This record gives sequence, C-alpha cells and structure tokens, in this order.
Amino acid sequence: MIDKKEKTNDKKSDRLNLELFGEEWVRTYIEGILFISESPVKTGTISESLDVPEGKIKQILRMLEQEYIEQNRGFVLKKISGGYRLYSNPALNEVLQRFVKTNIRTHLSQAALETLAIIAYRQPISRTQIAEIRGVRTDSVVLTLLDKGLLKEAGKIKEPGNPILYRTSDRFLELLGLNNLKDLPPIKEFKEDEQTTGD
Amino acid sequence: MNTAEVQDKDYTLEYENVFSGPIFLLVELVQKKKIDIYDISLSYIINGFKEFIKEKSGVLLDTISSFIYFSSILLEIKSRSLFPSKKEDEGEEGELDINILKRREDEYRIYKKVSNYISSKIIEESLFYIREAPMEKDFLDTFPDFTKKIELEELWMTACKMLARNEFELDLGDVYNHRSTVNIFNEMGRIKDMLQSREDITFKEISSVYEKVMDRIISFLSILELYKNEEIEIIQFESFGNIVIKTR
Repeated sequence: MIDKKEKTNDKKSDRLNLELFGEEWVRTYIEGILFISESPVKTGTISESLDVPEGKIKQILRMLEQEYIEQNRGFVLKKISGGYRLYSNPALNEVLQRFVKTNIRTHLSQAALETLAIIAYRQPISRTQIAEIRGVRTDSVVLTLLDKGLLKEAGKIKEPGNPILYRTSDRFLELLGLNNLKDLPPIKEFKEDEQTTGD
Repeated sequence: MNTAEVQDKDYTLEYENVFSGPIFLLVELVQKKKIDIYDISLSYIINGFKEFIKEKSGVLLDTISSFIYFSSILLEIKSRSLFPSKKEDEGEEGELDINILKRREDEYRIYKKVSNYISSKIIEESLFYIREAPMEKDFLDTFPDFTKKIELEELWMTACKMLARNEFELDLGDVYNHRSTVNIFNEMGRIKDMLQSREDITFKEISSVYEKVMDRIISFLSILELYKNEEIEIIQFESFGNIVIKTR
C-alpha cells in the first residue's frame, strides 16, 4: 500500500518510468487502463501515459494475452482495430447472455451485409458505384450503416454532383474482430471459390 | 412450350415509324446503334405494355419479367446517355452491352460470398462481450470536451439548415402531372444565348424563369446535354451549392 502511494506521487511529478515502477507495476497499470476503457487502447497511448517504451508495453500485453487464456480467466485480451481491449471469455457466452438478458448482437440485413462487403473491398467508394454492383439503389442502406457507425465519409469525387465517398470505420473492424483491413482474406479467395464451385 | 406461351413471348412493340418487333430486338438495335435511343420514348413503350397486360388476361409471368428486364436495359442506356460517361464503363460501341451486365453479375456473386463471410465473422464475434458503457465520470476530464467550442448560434444555424431541407422534398408523382412548357432544344439555345452576353451563369438564374418543376428538370437536362456536347463547363463547389455554368 505504501509502495503504491509513492508511485502515485511520482505520477504527479511526471516521472513515470519502467525502473521506477518495476515491471510488475507496469503490468498492473496496464490492466487498470484496459479495465476502464470502453474502446480499444493503442499501445502508443499506454506508452505515453506511463512513459514506458512501447516495445515493453507490447511485450507485457502479449504476456497478459497468453496468461488470461492459460489461466482460463473470465476475460480475454484481444488485439482489435489497432488497439487492445478486454473481452469476456467466449466460453461464457451462454451464461452472460442470461446475465445481460438481451442479445446485443448487431443485426444487419442481407442488403446491409452486401453493401458492407462491397465497401470493405472497394473503399473508398460512392453510392452510385455500390449500386452498379448490387443493381439496386443503396441510399437507405448506406444511411443505416452510417447510423450504426460502421461507415464513415472519405471525401468527395471531383465531378458534377460531388458524390461522397465512403469507407469502413474502426467500429466495423471491432464488429468483425479484426485488427486492421489487411486481416480480411484477399478477394482472390472468394473468386477462386467461385471457380471451383462453379456456381 | 404451348402456343399461348409463344404468343405471349412474341409481344410485338409498335413504335410509330421507328420500330416494330419484340423488345429484345429493339435492345439489340439500340446497342448496335442502328436505332438512336433518343428517338424512343420509354414511357410510351411501357404504357403500351401496360395496356397489353390490362386487356389480355393471363399474361405469363415470363413475358412480364422479360419485358421488365429488357426495358430496364433501355432505361439504363437512356439515363447513361444523359450523363457524360466514363470510358471504362463503355463497351466497344460505347454503349452498355450484355457483357457489362454479365461482368456485374459475376462481381455481385463474389460480394455475396463476402457478405456471408462477414456475417459469419459477426456471429463468431458475438460470443464475446465487451464493456460498452461510457467512461466513468471521474475519468471524463482526461478527454477533451468536444462540445466546448460550440456556440448557441451555431446550433441554431445547424437546426435551420436541417429544417430548410424540407423545401427540397418533392412529390415526384405530382411532377409528372404537369406537362412541360419548354423543350430541351429550345432550352439549350436559350442557355447558349444567355452565355453569349456574360462569362458565367448559375443554374438558379437559368431556371428562375420557370414555375413548374418539370420545366426546371428540362432546363437541368439541357445543361447536362450541353456539357456532354462539350459546349460548357460545370462547376459546383459544394453539395447542394450553386451550379455555375461557363462557356468552354
């Protein structure tokens, strides 16, 4: 307890560093930060606020990630949308569903899923370009996806009408459990699938 | 295939002195540029078919869907011809051809598979729960206050802009009830005349002489036509902003 107080005083003097804390305390601080965050935390942000090199933070995060799995804790650590975030252990799914009494899964219509699929691989893209692929207007679908925070605007095309371009948001990555867009399988895989199944 | 079906499929279009035959043939001729899409009134063709199904009971679904399919191709060709189209979207003849439709269909099938993949990832991910509540009050100060710089006046302006948008909401069904008083060629001439005495002019100025929405639409189409003919330049700095028209 006394130790912790000393560290708190040091924090005020902006002299936080690895030697001063010791690795054990850095771990503890990281856990605290992850615990209070409601969005993925970037390693750079942790590094800045603790004044500990980012490399060390990454190393500790990887250790924590491993540790939570090995110890079968109620939560796991996942690398998502360019940061780290605490998630419940997926094995607790049924119990937690009963606990929260609602299914918080995001429901998306088939039209919304198709629109997201096109934007994910063709971004930045305009509504007209999406409509050309889907063969129907997508205005209301795009608005719904914007409302859900899964898309964001990405500038305009310099041509009459100045159509808006869209790209997927960080929330999209979180929804799919991806760290970045590069984690999406290459579009080629779906094309090959198409050739082999022949449908 | 019975006789009735053959007759249904052979629904013959009669179009003034321009064309007589099945609709797929018309599509082919338009694609091969044997017939100019500008000479064809699509509303005339569609109304004719509507009359046909009204008069004749038991028209096969096949006939109706094939008519819808081919008339939608014509509709697309015509709407495309109104806009200056990009080279990559054009077929060899500079028109939308069946190959493009086929390519789009293939592309769409691939994205449908991607959508299945996305759906399965979402389901997989829904096994995890996260803390979605906002940050505890005590920690809020550590974040910048995004509403700090917003003045009451700004909020008021935003609300006004939002409410003013209602003015743009038109009853499209009503637009077609009023016949236009101008035609596209006269309107193109009028715009060119206006541009002779001055360097540039806005769409608002050009269309301000018209009361009817249909006349304003004609005026707008005339501008597009002049742009396509490379006679004018169009500049628009922001969405819904003034459209400025200049001579090339």
